[in-house]
Amino acid sequence: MPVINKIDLPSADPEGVRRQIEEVIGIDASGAILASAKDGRGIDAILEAVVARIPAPQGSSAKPLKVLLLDSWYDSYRGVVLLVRVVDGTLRQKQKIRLWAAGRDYEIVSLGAFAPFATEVGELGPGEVGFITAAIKEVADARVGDTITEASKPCDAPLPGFQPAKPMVFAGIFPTDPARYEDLRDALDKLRLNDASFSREPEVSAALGFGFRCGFLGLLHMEIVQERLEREYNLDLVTTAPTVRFRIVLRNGDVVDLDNPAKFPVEGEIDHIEEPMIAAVIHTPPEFVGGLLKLCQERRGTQTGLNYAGEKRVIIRYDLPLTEVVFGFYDRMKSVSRGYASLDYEPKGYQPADLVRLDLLVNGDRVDSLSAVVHRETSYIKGRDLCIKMKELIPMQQFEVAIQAALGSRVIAKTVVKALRKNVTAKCYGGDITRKRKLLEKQKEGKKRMKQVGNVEIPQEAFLAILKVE
Amino acid sequence: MTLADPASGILDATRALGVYVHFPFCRARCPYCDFATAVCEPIPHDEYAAAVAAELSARAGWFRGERAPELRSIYFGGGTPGRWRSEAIGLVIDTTRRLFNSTGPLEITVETNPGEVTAESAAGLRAAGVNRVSLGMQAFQDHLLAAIGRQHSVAAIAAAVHAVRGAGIDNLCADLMFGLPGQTMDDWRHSLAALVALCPSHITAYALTVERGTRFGALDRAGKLQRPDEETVAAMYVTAHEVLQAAGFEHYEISSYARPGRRAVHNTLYWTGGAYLGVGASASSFRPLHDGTGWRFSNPRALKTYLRSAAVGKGNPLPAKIEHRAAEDLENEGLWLGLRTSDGVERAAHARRYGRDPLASPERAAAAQKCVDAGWLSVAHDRLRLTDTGFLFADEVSSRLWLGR
Repeated sequence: MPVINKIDLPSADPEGVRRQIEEVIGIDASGAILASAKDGRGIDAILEAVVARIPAPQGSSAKPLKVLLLDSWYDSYRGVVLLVRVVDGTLRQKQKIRLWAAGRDYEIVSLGAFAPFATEVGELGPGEVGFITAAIKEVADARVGDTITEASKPCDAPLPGFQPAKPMVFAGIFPTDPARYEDLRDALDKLRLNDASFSREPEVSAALGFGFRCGFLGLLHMEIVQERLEREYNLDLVTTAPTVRFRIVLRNGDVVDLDNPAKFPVEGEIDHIEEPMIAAVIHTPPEFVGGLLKLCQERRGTQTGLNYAGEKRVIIRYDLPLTEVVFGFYDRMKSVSRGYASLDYEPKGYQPADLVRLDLLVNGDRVDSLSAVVHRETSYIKGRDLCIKMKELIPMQQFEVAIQAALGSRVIAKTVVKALRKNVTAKCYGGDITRKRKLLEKQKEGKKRMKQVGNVEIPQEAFLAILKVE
Repeated sequence: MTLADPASGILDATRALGVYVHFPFCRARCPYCDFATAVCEPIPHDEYAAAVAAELSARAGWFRGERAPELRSIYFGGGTPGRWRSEAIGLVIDTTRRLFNSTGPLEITVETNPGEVTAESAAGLRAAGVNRVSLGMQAFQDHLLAAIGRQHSVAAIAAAVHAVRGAGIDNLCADLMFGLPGQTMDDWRHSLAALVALCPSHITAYALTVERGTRFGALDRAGKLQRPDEETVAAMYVTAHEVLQAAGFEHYEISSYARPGRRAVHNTLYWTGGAYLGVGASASSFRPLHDGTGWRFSNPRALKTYLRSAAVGKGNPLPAKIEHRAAEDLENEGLWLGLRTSDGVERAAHARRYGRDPLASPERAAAAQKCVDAGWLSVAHDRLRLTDTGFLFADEVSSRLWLGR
């Protein structure tokens, strides 16, 4: 039901927008309603259209309670607030309810609707949308899409289509300062109060010490969580390169889910490895199709479709290994298409692939958090490029630092960071201490963002170097 | 009394005082120099002297107190203050002497370039009261002097030394640079030997720093500045240390060497938390307070802005930058400034001034231990100091101690 708003603006171009809707989104906009929320134009038409075009609720208040959980959020005073829509039955104050997927029972503390401000109501019937609080402590129990029913008289089946959010991308998160491990744990716990979709379990890395391996819905989600941890909880973090969950079938028949390259089994034990695939849909203006196809081919993609939708839009479909997408695909896609292409994807099962673990050795020691699972064919090039990149990123230290890439025990590339010969500013001229202090401050801040691995200091961004390798 | 008023608070009168006078005028701008300089003819000798004298009078009150600190040094830096008419220099010296208490010896230094000194100008400086002259010699190869845009020749160096000594000024300092474009280790050894032969009392030997906003900075970014590599520059530093120590100079600060008893009084104030009043364009001041905090402030950089604000404020230009530094910040500064000297940081004196031992915090003690392990720092019960190698890593040590990790 397209509605074109803000038509009161002097620059409004409703016809242009109507065309864009058809070209970009691909839906029929001939019947789009023109409206201005500011001066009230079109409001009646919208309300009429809602009544006429959207089917009325089919539920019955006589049936056992069946309620869809639309959204949930954490309120520090009231606990978790649930936004719900009643399908069958009636929600009442003080009712005992059950969250289907969580399998937990709660008593309703308050029941209300947004009109538009939160207003308490006595009950909510079929088709009505409102909110519930029920002294729920964790958002993790209130998963979007779950069914709510009455504890004493449950409905016979939940609403269809519910899928718990499943982490797809994994990364290790460590405090740069080991002393702040507890702070990181607390911060993650607090964050999970209102974002239950990321998982976390403690991880111990030989290189990075104590931290957590976290699972995220996608790369954007990962960045958001990381950003929030740093900003809201004032933590300095090292995040390892993201990885996907591989399925490793061992010779002895065991199947291992691997979301941490550091735990890659020895090659002799592996029968074969499967990797998660995605069905990717890329929307782009036609002039970038060539570059995007090339990118998808390089990333081991299989084309499944290519359609022109209007003159200015092409839809490219590819099956791609998720791991290739995680390794900087998005940035590349944006640069190839000068920012115009957009990517949408959904999981598409697992496929066997010839994968190996690429290790990075710093002064002869394997740094577990720098290992990556890559395709055998590109492993040599990746190894070489990774060494070059690391040489750029690791600053000179007191001694020479050798950086090697290895497959198993075989070293395939090597670079050297020369020893630091001096670090001193010659003069403090004319008593301008402030200027000198600022120089030192910059160095100090740089050091703060370093992680000590063995006796080598590695900057945070080096742990993500693999993402920068083409 | 507002928060950003550097005149507020009671001065810590236990610290010695220096006056720095900035004279921005130069014959030509050197391509590596990013100090406040001005190339203009004719130099407004009297206008500038009047502005500086008025500023001194207006600010003197900030550096006096019940127990006025002892004035130990007047330093004319630049620019090329040797180009200032000696009567103007004399006026500034007399004004300063009148305003501040000074009973002991007073070091009065003027910086100049070899090509600018004549027998007459040196005599003029002497008559004005100057007792120390610092010559920007920089190198003893004409092609290197040309490469760094200096206006003098090697021949002018000996002549200038002769003129200064002839005027009765025996406290002679020399600036020498290494890491210059095209400079070899042999060039550097030759410069050091030639300088030692001139018997200066003090030497500042420093590496060329390429700063943004200079001509060298632009060339460097364009990849067109061929300089010796870090390894060679480090080796040149070590060579200076060896050659000058063997010649009887004490390496008493990262870039400074002195004959016994000839350490720079003025620069020592900077390294040891002394008070200083800087007057003239861009000059920086430090006003340490009784409560352990302090004011750092500096004048406008541009000559015109300085002269204008000096005129508007009746000789009391509002500093362009003002910072009030907390006691713990000054403690930290005291540490890294002190470490620049061979005396290092005397722990008891540090504790007396800042209320705690420099290694009181466990974080800093741990960071210090790492620097000791690296061979950069020596920690004794009475003092901390950088080792000979540590001098080359002073910034590394300082930023680690500051971070405490």
